[in-house]
Order: sequence, then structure tokens, then C-alpha cells
Amino acid sequence: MSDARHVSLELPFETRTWKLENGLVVTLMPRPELHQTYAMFATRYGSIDRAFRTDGKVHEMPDGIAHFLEHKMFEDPEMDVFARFAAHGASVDAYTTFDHTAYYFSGTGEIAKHVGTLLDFVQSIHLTDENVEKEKGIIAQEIHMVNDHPDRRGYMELLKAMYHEHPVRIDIAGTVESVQAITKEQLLLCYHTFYHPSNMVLVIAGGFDADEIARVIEENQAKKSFGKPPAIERLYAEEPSAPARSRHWVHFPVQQPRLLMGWKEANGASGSNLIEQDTAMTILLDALFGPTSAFYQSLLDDGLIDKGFSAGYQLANTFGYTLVGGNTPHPDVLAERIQSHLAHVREHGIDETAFERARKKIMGRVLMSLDQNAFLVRNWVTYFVRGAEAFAFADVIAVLQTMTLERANARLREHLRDDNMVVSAVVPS
Amino acid sequence: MESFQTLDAGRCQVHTLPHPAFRTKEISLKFHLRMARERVTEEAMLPGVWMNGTIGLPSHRQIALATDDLYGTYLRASISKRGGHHILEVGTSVPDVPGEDEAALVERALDLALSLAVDHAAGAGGFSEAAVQREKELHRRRIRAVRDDKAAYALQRCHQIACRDTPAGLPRLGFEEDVEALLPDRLYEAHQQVLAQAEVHAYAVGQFRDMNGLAERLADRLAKTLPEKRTMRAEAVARDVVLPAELRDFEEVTEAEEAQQTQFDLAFASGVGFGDAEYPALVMMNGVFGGFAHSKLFMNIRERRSLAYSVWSFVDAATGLVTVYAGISADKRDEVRQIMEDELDAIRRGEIAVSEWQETRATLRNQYQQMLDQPAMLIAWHHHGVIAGSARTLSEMIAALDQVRPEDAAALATALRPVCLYVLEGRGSRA
Repeated sequence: MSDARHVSLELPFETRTWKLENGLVVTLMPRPELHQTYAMFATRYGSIDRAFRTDGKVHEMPDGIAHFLEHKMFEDPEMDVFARFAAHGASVDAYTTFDHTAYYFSGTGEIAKHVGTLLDFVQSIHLTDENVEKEKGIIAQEIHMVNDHPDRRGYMELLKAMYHEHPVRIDIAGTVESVQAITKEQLLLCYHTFYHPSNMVLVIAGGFDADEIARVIEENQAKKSFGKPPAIERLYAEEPSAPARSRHWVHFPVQQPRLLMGWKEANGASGSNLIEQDTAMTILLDALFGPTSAFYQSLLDDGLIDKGFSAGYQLANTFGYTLVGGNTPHPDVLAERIQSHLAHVREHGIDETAFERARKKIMGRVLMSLDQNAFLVRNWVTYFVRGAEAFAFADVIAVLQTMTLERANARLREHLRDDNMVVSAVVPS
Repeated sequence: MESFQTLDAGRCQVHTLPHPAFRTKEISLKFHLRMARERVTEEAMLPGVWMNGTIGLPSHRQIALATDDLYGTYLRASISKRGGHHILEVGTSVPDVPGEDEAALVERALDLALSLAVDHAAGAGGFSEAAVQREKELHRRRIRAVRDDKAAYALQRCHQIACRDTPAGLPRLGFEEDVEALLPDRLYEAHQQVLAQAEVHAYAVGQFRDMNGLAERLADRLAKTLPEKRTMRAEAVARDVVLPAELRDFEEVTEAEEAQQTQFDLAFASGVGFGDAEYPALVMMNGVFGGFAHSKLFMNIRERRSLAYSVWSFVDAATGLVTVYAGISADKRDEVRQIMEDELDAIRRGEIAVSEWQETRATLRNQYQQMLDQPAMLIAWHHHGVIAGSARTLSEMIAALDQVRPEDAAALATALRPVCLYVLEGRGSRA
């Protein structure tokens, strides 16, 4: 097998990106060989955007409002949104993250019609005091469902311990109490602030005719007027670089304990810096904690982990962190093993063979992901939201190919330290 | 659209499907056999044991090193169940890497996949005493952890009660009390039994340069490594459909747990399974009832009365059970149950709007068409057909939906009989 640094990559499809007059960025990836088309319309507005300034006025919103708004966008007196997509055989859904809200459909025919419906239902809002009130019971059940899930709960508890002030420490859906406080007026203000086309992106991949869809989008948008884009200033309290707590144990009715360790980035990143740092961390974490590391095998041999043990990295504009963990009978022992492993590698550096192996593996995984429309679109939207507007998959491949061992070692010493680390665990109550 | 070519090699069958849209190549080996109380736990452990090491690659790490060297080729071993059948699967997904010799990559991935299933010896690799001890502990924890996903656990309990005393009522992972007693030698015997007795189906989907050659090599390699004859012929087709006529009394079981939410699972027997002519009508009926976000249950329980965030009904194709699920507050249990019964009665009376019918058909058609883009789904659909003794392709299923009339769905709804209500009450979930 040859070296991953010299693989030449030609994408198996064309990508077309342009900006409309109203500021909306559109990316099309036509792939006529596929049945499915996956389309996503997303705004740079998530749960962390709870305080902002527009026209010189500061607004502070109840927690969970971006997610609440996502639910209410499906309310439309003119049409039942789910049924409208269903009538022509597509399914529609949405999700809210810390920094964006995304609406998407997946369909196999009449794509032009569905694209129009997607744009239309997200670009109109129909709120009444009554339909806002009605949603509160549904969201309360969603919050209960999430709170009953030990992995999700463990993840949110870790972020609570990691952050003093940054709203990433608050659950995306808010709390049953904060959701109760949400009003129609607040929802409308957030909608008109964050759903202007200049704050949004539309990405479509799959079996459709690119010229036809481009025309449908242009015509649909030309018919609507949105006014001037609002100048949005997002307000975040000062966040110290050290974690709020270094240890956090949560008792929960769970059958087996879970350890989750986190390392906090002092800053977020955007654009090409974000792609570069994200890629460096992906290789680094695989070399350190992946199934091919001697460390992973020793943890398996000692019965400290199962094959679900994993490491991951998140980097956004205003926050970033590494997470490592999984099921373990002995959270404290595992945490100590991970700490001393890191101390050792910080001192001696990452093994070059392990680094090259990780690079090669991740290259193959990126190539395989090109078969997955939904994955492609979601990734594209996430990078867009985080400031990599002119991003292309070729950039990720290029970064992957030019990443150096020195850079990974520098990242290791800069980020995976003891003083920015949080050790948390979910243990049986 | 999607027609698998089958090479019948006696001991095993190799099914291939060239697919120009996929750059990732998918190979899967499936071993299936009837579940039995005394064997279920050891069978469930085998895929984990396989992944812990072979004769040639005696540790999990060595297996991972080999796949990383193939550009992160995925290699997995898993256990699943379909009605009363256990399915042990070894699968691999091989990337298409520009400039690399495709045949060499595929051949090495195929070697790995085959060796994972057959290259074992008592006392070696995953079957070494130390590895077995570790796997026993992991399996014990796996069985306990089923309780941590409350929605999945409640559904499993509901189906176990509905299919009590049949193979379909056995849990996928087996029983904790069996794990302790297992000796390494016994586990290796169980492995040999699976190779000897299971029905074996191999699949290859994607852009392979020489698909026929690959199919022949796969059949040849399997024939060389598997015992020539089954020592006990497994039943290839066994019906797991729960029959309304043979039902015990309706059972209502409530268990309580520390949780914020209450899990509500109500199972009905339809008497119709995957291979039956009425199956497309059952799927349509379920779609109207609670299959989608435009369905009766979603509209009435969630959208109109705000009683749940999650509310669905779904068909288990092997047992023919139609199960309604909702995550609710404990004190809303009777109200939710009443709405479910009212909506089912509405379908029985034929109250299905033209729009509801069309939306359901279009959404189902879309769902099946999307499966045509997913190699793993194409393989799973075909294999379900093998187990159910049905040769209906996805394209035929899509065509069959067009033939279903609302009165067919009403007739199936009328035939539905409740078998079991299982409620996992969250102690913190009273509103």
C-alpha cells in the first residue's frame, strides 16, 4: 500500500457555491447516480446565542429559545408542513445545536417542489399565544427523555463542570422552567434577528438537476423581500481559560459507570484555522486513543474499557474541547491511566508510525463518507456556520495530507494538559 | 432496479449486486440460526470473541492495525436478532482510494473478514482463557446496560412478553446467569456449532471490477473453511408470526424505575409477516396509524394534546407485531391509551382521508427508494427475505404499495388484537 500523503483525489461530483442578492449562500452537489436527495437550510443561530445586541439594544432570552423556535417553525395555518412533504414522498425534520439550527428534507422525487416548500416554511412564521403554550408540554417531554439518557446526561454534566459562564454549559433545549418562560414576542424577535437570508445557508446533495434547482431557488428568493440584514452582536460573558471544576461525579440510576474526561480549549477558531486544528486533533486523538494504540489494548486487557471507548473533538467559533471516555467499572483508575499515558506521550512525543497510520485511516474514512449525502451536507453546513464559507472537501484532504508530526506534537502539548482537564463520571445512585 | 445474482454453492450462498453509485465496497457474511434458550447466550458472545483475536491476528489491536493499513477499512462483527433467529454478521466496508490497486485492497479486506469468522482455535486469540474471561465480564455488563436505554429496554420487554415461550421471545444478548457458568472450551464448541449448523449467506455490493470472480472466490473460500455438511440441518424458514387466534389473555405489566419519563408500549398481533401477501397492506395501515409525523397518533397525541414528544407505531416484520410507543407522564397513561384505541377504531371504520392515504404511500415509497442508495439496507432487505422465505425485492415492495386499498388496511386494523401493554413507569414522571 502506498503512502496516504500521495493519494490524488478527484471528487466524484461537482460542487457549485454562490451567494444570492439577499445574502443567502447556496451550495449544490448534483449526483445523478443517486436516488436520494438531501437538502438542508440552516441558520447561524443556536442555543448559545441567548444574549445579543441589535440596534443598540441588549436582549437576554430564556434558555432553550432557539430550540423552541425550531419546533414552532413547523406551525403553519396554510399547510401541515409534515403532510406537505409527505404528499410528495419526502420526509422533513430539524435539529438545534449549540451554534446552529438546521431544517432538512430527504426525498427521491419532485425535488424542485420540496426545495420551494423548505424555503417557504422556514421563511414564514405563524405564532399565536395559544400555539406557543401548546408546545411547552411537548418540549417538557423531550427534556425528560434527554435527561433520562445516561450518556447525554454525562456529556452535559461534563460541560457544566468545564465552563464557568459560556452558555455551552446549558442544555440545548433549556429546562422545563426556562421553557415555561418563553413568550411569543421573544420568539418573534429571535426569528427576525437570526433568520435573515444573510445569516443562512442552503446545501443540497443528491440526484437532481442542478440548473433547474438553481433556477427554482433564485426565483423563490427574488419574490420575497427581507429588508436590510440586521447587525447582530452576540454577547458572551468573559470565560476563564481554566475549567470551573476539575472533578465532577454524578449519581444516576444507571447499570454501569461511565467516565468522561474533557480538555478545554482557551479559544474557539474559525475558517481555515478551524479546519486545520480540527484535522490535527482528529489524527492526534486516533494515534493516542484509537484501537491500534498499545494503550487501548492494555486498557481492554485490564478490563477497564469496552470497545465503545472513544475520543472526540469539537471546535466552534467561541468554544472547543476534547472528550475521552466510555463505560468502565473503575472510573478513577481509568482516569489515572489516561493521565499518565498523556504525561508519557507529552514527554516522548507521538510515535511516527502511529501518526502515519492514523493519517491513512482518516483519509480512507473521508473517502467513504463521500457516499453519504446526509453526512456530506451536515458537515458542509457545520463548517459554513463556523466561518469556512469557501470550504471544500478538497481542503480537508489537503490539510490531511500536509499535516506534520511536529504540529500534532505541538497541539498535544498545548491542549491536552493537566490544568485544563475535567474528570467526570456518571456512577450508579 | 436491485437484483442480486445468487451463486448457490451448497453450504453457502453468495449474493452479489454491482452498484455504480457506491464508491465504498461492502462485503458481509451472515450466519443465522434458530434461537434456543440453552444456546442463546454463548451465540450472542461469539462476535465479540471473534473481534478479540484470530489465529493469525491474536489480539484486537492486531486486527485494528490490519484495517488501518487498508485506509481505515471498517471491519465489524455483530449480533442481531430477527424474530426467533440469531444473526451473527461479519462485515467490511472498503474505501475506493484513487491510485491504489483496488483488487489488492478488496482481497485483503476479504481475507480479514473471512478470518474473523473462521480462523480460530481453542485456547488461541479471542478463545484464549484470559480473553474469554474478559469477554464474559464485558458481556455481563452489556446485558445489564440494556436497561440504560429506557425506550429500547421497554420495547424489548414488551416483545418478550408478547412472544413468551417462543424463540422470538428470547433476548438478543442472552442471560446474565448463563455467562458465569461458561467455560472457554464450551465457547469454542459453540463457535464450531455455529459454523456447522448456521445458514450462511455472503453478500458483496458496490463497484467491484470482477464481481463474478469475487463471488466464486468467496464461495470457494467459505466451502474450504466451513464444515462440509451441516451436522443438523437448521430450519431455513421458520415462522415467528404471533397469531391472534392462538393468543393467551391480554397481559398488562407495569414496572417502575427512577426516571423522569414513563415508557408506554402497547403491542398488537396482526398475524401477518414479512413474506405474506398482506404485508404491504400492514405497512400502509401502520403508516396511517402512527408510522409518520403526519399520522393519526402523531397528530392527536403530540400535536393536538401535547402529551408526548415521541409517539410512533411500528411493524416488527418477523412477528407481525404492531407496537405503539409513547414517552409520557405517568398520569397520562389512560388518556394516551384511549386516544390510541380511538384512532385504531377510526381506521377500522375506514376513516382514512384520501390525503392521509396518499401521504403515507408517498412517504413509504420514498423510504424504500432511499434504501436503494444504502448497501447495508439492500443487504438487510434481501437477508430478511431469505429468513422469511420471501423473494420480494424492494422494487416489488414499492409496486405492491400501489395495489393496497384503504379497505385492505381497515380489514387488517380490524384483525389486530392487543397482546401486551408494558409500562415502565418513571417515578419522577407524574406531572
